[in-house]
Amino acid sequence: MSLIKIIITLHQPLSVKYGAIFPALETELKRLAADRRFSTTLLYLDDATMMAPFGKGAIPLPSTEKDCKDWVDAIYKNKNPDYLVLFGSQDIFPFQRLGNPLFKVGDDSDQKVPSDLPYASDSPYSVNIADFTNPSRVVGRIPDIPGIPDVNHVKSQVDFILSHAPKPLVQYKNYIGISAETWSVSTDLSLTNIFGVNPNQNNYPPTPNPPPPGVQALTHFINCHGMLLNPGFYGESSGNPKTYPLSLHSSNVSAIQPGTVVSAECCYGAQLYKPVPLPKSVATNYMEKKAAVFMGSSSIAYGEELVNDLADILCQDFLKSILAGASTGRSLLEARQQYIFLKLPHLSPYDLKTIAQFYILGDPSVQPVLQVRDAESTTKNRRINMRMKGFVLAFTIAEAKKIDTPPKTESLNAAIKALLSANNLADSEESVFEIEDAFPYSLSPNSKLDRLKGFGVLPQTDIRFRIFGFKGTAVEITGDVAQTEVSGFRVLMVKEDGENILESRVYVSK
Amino acid sequence: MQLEGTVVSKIFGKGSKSEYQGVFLSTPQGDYVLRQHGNNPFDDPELKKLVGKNIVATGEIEEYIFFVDAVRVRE
Repeated sequence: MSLIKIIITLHQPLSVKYGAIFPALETELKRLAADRRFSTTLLYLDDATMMAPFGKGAIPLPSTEKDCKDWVDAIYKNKNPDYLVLFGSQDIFPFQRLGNPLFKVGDDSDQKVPSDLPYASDSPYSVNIADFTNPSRVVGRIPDIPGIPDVNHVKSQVDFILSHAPKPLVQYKNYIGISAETWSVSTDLSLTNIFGVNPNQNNYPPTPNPPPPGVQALTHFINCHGMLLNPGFYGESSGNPKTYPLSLHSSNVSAIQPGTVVSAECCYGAQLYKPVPLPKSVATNYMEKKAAVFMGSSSIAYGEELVNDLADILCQDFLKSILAGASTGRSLLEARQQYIFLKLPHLSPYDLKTIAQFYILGDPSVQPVLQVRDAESTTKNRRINMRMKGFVLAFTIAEAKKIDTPPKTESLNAAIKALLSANNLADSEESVFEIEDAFPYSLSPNSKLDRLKGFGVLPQTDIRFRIFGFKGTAVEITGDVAQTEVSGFRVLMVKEDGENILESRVYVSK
Repeated sequence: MQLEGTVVSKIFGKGSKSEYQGVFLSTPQGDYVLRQHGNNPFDDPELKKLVGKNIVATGEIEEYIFFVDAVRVRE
């Protein structure tokens, strides 16, 4: 099963921006598209021929944010890619600028929240964050430099993506924590949750001038101040008078290792701006120095000083998924979904801004860490699961109903028989559960559910769980103790879609 | 461009990861965060010295920020 990766961008804006060196840029895009580890397609949304298979013409130029969202949805409707790569910064392929529920001049001054969340959601175009609390797609952005046609910046990232191979977990357990002193307790809690121990936290102050020691570690967790249109992150003293020493400047990033993973809670941590007259942003330099991913915020972010909440939670869950072997794109999706599950049923405006403002820079298919968890589950299976979870988040939980055992295709039957034989369950009894209608309920009287169903991108609903091992009333009574006839209770669960085994598990009773 | 107004000090980004005692230029068109390129945006002693004064400043507006190139204090 080849995984589908689609890279989307806009030809005309790129050719205008890069001018005479556009062919060199296109060479890099084609190198990326030639990555045969995936079934990769490069799509110019403004190319009518390329878009024809997706039931869309060329996107209008100049494109609106709504156009871009609509065209992305058409791609999902027709191809359902495992990874969607947005190529270019916001001057090429726009962020979706969502209304900021916390906007207040001089306080939370972000009128809009630049976001890639809508591209990761099956909900149709909207500027309301609350319409996108059902993230279900794996999406990332390979940025170029806003306003500057720099092919080498792109080439550096493409070189990394094409040469990257996952590394053992132990290498990514070598981390650096960078924190404002005033948030040191919250940072310590986050890092301890992620790594189990926390010997590598640097607080600003009193840590002296950056770069902090250990910047060559492969995992970076940053909980500092950031500022719009500024190339640095800043600490904050706990006492008075307040000081705000520089904790990391974009120029300090030159010493990082390729494959570095960054999770930054800072305000504007992942901002991309035209580096004139300013130096490049921290995030831009991380990507230029071949970071695997930079996960950060487009705007003013929120957290806690003494406990974890909001950005603290999202950023640590992102790293937990990375360390467990997920791709960078899946790590963001998992973090978003877990966050929303955690906060349901009532998401505050702070929660809404948090889930909208964080995005990843980097190819979402890059897997930094060799997988240590869930190795038996296929990527296709995980994608289906996450699409389903997205819908659950928006509406309700899918119900699996027991049905009479349906026939299997020849290939499916052979695959299941092999599994049963391998697990000494060849003559076991079979029970089948089918998800008849994933979303029989609507929580919304105006039927947002129906609009999504009409959109036609519901994940497969003909999913079945086949469970092998039940043997009727295999119980004998000895005194007051009920015992099964077999030693222990062992079942094989196969999840299938009619054609393929998506997942198999052997469960044992304790 | 040129802006004229009073420099005031107040909290920016209350409760956020960029909360600090900001320096603003209060003008009839609205309040702008004052910044200088290359200086610490959270702690710029040169701008703090202007608090309470009426100024005419030359610079550029980027979103809610006024990047100051030159300042003239009005007597």
